[in-house]
Amino acid sequence: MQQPSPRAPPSHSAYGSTSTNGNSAAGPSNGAAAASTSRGREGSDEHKARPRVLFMGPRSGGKSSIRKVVFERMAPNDTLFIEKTAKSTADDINSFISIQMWDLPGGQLDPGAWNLAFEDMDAVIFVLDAQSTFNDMIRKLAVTMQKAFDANAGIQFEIFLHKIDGMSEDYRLDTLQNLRDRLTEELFDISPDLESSMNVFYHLTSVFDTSIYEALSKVIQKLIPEQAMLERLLDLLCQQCSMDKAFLFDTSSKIYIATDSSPLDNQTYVICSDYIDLIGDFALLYEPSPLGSPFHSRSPSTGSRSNTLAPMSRMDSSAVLPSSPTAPRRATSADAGRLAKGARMPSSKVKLSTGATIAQWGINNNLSLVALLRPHMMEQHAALIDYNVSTFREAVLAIFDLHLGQGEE
Amino acid sequence: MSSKSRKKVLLMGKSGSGKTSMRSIIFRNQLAADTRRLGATIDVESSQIKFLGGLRLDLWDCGGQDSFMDSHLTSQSSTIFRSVHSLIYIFDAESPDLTSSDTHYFLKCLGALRDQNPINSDTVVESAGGADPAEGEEAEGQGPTVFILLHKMDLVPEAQQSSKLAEFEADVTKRATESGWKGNLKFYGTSIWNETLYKAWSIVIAHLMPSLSSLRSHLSHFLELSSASEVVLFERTTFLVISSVTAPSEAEDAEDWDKRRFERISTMVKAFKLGCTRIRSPFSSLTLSSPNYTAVLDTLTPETYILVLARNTIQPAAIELNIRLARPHFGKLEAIGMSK
Repeated sequence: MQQPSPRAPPSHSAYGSTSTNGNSAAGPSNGAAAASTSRGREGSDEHKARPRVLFMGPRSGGKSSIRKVVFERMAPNDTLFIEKTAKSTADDINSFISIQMWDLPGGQLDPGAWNLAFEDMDAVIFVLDAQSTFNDMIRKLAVTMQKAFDANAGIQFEIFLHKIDGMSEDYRLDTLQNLRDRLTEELFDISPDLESSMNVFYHLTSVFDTSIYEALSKVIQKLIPEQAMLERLLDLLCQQCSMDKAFLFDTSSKIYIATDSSPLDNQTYVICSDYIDLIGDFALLYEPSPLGSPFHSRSPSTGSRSNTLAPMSRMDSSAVLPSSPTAPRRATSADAGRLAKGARMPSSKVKLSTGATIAQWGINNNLSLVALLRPHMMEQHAALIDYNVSTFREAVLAIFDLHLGQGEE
Repeated sequence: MSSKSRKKVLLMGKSGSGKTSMRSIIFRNQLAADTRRLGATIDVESSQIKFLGGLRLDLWDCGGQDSFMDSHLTSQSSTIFRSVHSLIYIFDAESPDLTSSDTHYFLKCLGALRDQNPINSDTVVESAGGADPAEGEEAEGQGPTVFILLHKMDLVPEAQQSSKLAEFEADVTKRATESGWKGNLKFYGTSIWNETLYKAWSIVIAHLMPSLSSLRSHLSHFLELSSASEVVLFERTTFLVISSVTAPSEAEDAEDWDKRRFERISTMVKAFKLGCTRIRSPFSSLTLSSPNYTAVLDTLTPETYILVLARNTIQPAAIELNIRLARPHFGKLEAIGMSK
């Protein structure tokens, strides 16, 4: 019954014929990687100044809910019990793309009351409760936006019309249109130039489905300078490995920081993010210690901010006592770095009865590649796909120049 | 014997205690959140469930409103309680009259069960004497087994859950013995919102399965041959755990593993399977390799899934091959069970 040797390739000719293909895949992505390495080094200074995102909005608009659901994996139903945010907290979203999120307490959205340093912000997310009457809010919103724009002309405005789960499809669009018209009008009243030169984007979101993840993904993708290159890499990979769709996920938050350029349908995203969940949970069951886990810990203790110093990941927070000095912390992140180099990276796949495969590869401790492969590709060319993926991994790591950044910290 | 592979299971309890919710989650792949749309069960809904090894379950979901309960206990008594293999009685943990009218009905059911399934005194002694609760097989043919599920435990504060169950168990056991019930009563706290439901039902199903111990020995043989650390067998449609074997050499590490891992796997994989069905491409197998171990979840026989977990030195392809080679063997085993 036992035969621990790996399965021989099903047919030699098929293997051989595509291996030329595979090499050609390796070629361009290597090239792209080489080209990008220099750029990555140049950009490493700006990389250290992380993209910063500010969450703003009126009282009980849903800002803290979003933060807890997406970054601390709270169950959407539990968000009812979140208490009011008393003071503004700066959150480091410690993942591959470290992002700083400022969660401001709700309350009067009074632009005069705050002395916000908009110069340092890359994007501002306004969270508005779609089910409330926000008409009187729009004027204040416009004034705030003007203030922010004056301070920083490059700032992006993202307006989340939140809590749309309770509304019908038609009504959602009506509400959004209404908001858009009113806001444009207000901005135009302040100054006609302002309206035309501002970057304003609207999103319909809800914590009860994937819309919040998709909206945040879009916001964050705009803030990552490497995004275009990642997309190109993913396109190449999809082409060479017969993938229908590939995502680069931030494993802990299920935000995708890049995807290939083919159109995205919601179901594909849902199944891929469900899959990330399954794999993450599964891995935790048999890990001997939380340190060894390449995935986030799902413990509710992520609420403690002990991880704000560790640059790499959340898993450190569960392994290191909050009172311990930085020395052991450094050791753990060094361990993590060695893990990424030496040991095999986690990978997994799910076969569907149509023959298609959903596969996942760890890129580093925070990122994973999730791809939807066409029927029977995985069985026939598993080794080749793995090879291409490892090339892809090198390229991605080179782009982000992770090890360099880590050494400096 | 056909009666041996056909088992009648009664699902009873007060109205609104969650009988139909349970049934639809376990056997019909519904989500826990969707169960609030279920209506009341009128009279008795009987469903046949085909199970592993030719085992057929006749699951009778008995409506729990007082008028139905009364008719179950009086005019319908012989139809309902005759030749019952197991009774699953569900209590609502948050019901205000948990210890009064709820228990009262339960005792009446026990009485009816006893009247309709007379057992001779020798077998009773035997079952009271040494039936190991984990090995359901031994109780075979010794009168109906009663499982009591204290349901909706999620509504009880976490600190009080175990004490509440223990208290309730002591109380009901005492009253049942007083009323003249001599068999075993098994108590479990459950909730549809977490994996406790799967835990309790896995035990119920394991109890119903014939030839469980032989299956276990075959599994441990397989474990040994593939040098795996753990092997778990799941039923296909319900994803309930049928049997599991952990390698003795891993006993120390196994302490660190999640205690409720099987139930969690059931819950997780089932949720994911639902997601797969939504994109019209059903789930078939899962392979996972991490820095420390390799896991493969694949179909073993048409009715079962097997999860094989091994150390990282073993390639996933090797496990996949082993499972493929083991398939005919386990298929034969199932066929033997069917012909029995």
